[in-house]
Amino acid sequence: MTVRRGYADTPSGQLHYSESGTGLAVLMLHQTPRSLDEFAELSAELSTDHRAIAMDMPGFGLSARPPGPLSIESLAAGAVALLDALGIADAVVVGHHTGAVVAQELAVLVPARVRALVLSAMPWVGPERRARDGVPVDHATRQEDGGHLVEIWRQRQPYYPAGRPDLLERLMRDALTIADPTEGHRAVGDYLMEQRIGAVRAPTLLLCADRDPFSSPSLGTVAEALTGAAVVEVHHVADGTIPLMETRSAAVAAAIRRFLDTTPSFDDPQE
Amino acid sequence: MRKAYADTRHGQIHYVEAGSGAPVLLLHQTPRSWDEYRDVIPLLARTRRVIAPDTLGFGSSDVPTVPWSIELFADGVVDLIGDLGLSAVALVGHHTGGVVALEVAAREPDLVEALVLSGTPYVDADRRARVATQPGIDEVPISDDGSHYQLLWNKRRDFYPADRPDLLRRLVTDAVKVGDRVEEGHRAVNAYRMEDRISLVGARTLVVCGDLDGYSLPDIPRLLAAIPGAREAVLHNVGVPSVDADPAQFAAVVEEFLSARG
Repeated sequence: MTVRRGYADTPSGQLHYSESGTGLAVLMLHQTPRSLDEFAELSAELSTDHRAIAMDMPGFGLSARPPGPLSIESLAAGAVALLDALGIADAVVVGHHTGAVVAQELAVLVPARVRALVLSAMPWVGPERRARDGVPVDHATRQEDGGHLVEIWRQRQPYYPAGRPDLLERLMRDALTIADPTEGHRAVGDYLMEQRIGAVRAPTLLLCADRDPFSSPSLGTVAEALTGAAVVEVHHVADGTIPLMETRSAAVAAAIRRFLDTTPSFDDPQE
Repeated sequence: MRKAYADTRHGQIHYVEAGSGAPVLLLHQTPRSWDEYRDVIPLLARTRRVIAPDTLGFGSSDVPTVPWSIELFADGVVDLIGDLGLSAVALVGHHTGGVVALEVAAREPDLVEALVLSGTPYVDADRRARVATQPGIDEVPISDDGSHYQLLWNKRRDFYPADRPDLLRRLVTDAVKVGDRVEEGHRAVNAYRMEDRISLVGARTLVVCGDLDGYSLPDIPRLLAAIPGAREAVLHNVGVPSVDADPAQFAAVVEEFLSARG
């Protein structure tokens, strides 16, 4: 399946996206500090019978950044702007880590545009998390000898499978492309999730990467907080790690397909 | 500045565009991207339509799976010009980009009105033999602990003024994007048979080089001798990264040459 990249002209500036396949639109939203490249494998899986669209969220990859600090709300507004520019009335929205938080906000912001929601490795953001005052991952102070580049690699390496330096290379490309690879983590940490998540109506699939120590403890809290969703299903991805989308794309695609095929309210999200 | 993609026979080519008027294309060196011209583009765009592509394989352009060559890079430029519907262009190329610009000018004499060869090496049998035994410029083996990034940084560090780590960071970012094929751009230059092609250049030509660019400065006389009527300019106090280190001086020399019709 041919993947085409392009820019959509939106009121939020130029937004960069990739697209392949035809059928029901699936919009994919990446983790910090990644880009649409995170979904290269999943797009290939889904595009055989879907219109697979991955975007660089505003301020990431090649997309324009919104004025001011990034927020989950401004990232969600960027996703709406892309759907508008591409003339997509509604889509299945898939998000991983930061992208999951954005997808959840999108489902509250424009419920009619989100036919179903797939939240992968979504962290819970409540008062305790917002109060946490730490240095986020991907932080490195620039050094004269280039040591800061190695620092980002080393912070991420424990969470990447051995023998796949190519995946870390792809992360590094994205981390270097943007001025501050920690900004997305801060946007997550500022989000008022507990005030928004109950308003999600769309049928929701929660994907849990079993070997992701950051997000997997959130699963129970997230599931309980989705009080308004038409359906909430949980799927555990064995051997799932932080680079879940690259390493377990076939399992993720199969879980998404099964969810879309078996969710009764899926064909009529307005109900 | 607007970013976009065009279709070529080897996949999508990514480019940046600004301004209006007579079109000028800016072609970057290995392992850079359009970003090398980031600060030159607005200066030239005051009077011209400026188009700066990422060479195929570099930046955000598609990566051809076949071996890279100057001819393949030139295919991308020719197809971009065609996709944009342009019938006459000026071409500016720096280092690898200069060699690509020369090949496009040799292949499409009716399309290329003016040619600026910046820091461009003269590649003949002598050079091909000499470079064949030299170590790579940007090549670093991927290491498990990420130390190859530091190696890459340090390999390029001496090219840049000590007070411009920002430029070094931009180069390293582009090199990391190209990944394990980063050396192939340099190899493509050194495999090119320039001596067979340069006499086909019909465009009026400027040969320009930084006075601290020890790689390409010695080649100026050979380029001038091979292109009858070509003019010469030397940029002051800049080396290999002349385009990004002194965009005002670079743009002024290019603008003066392009606007001096004749």
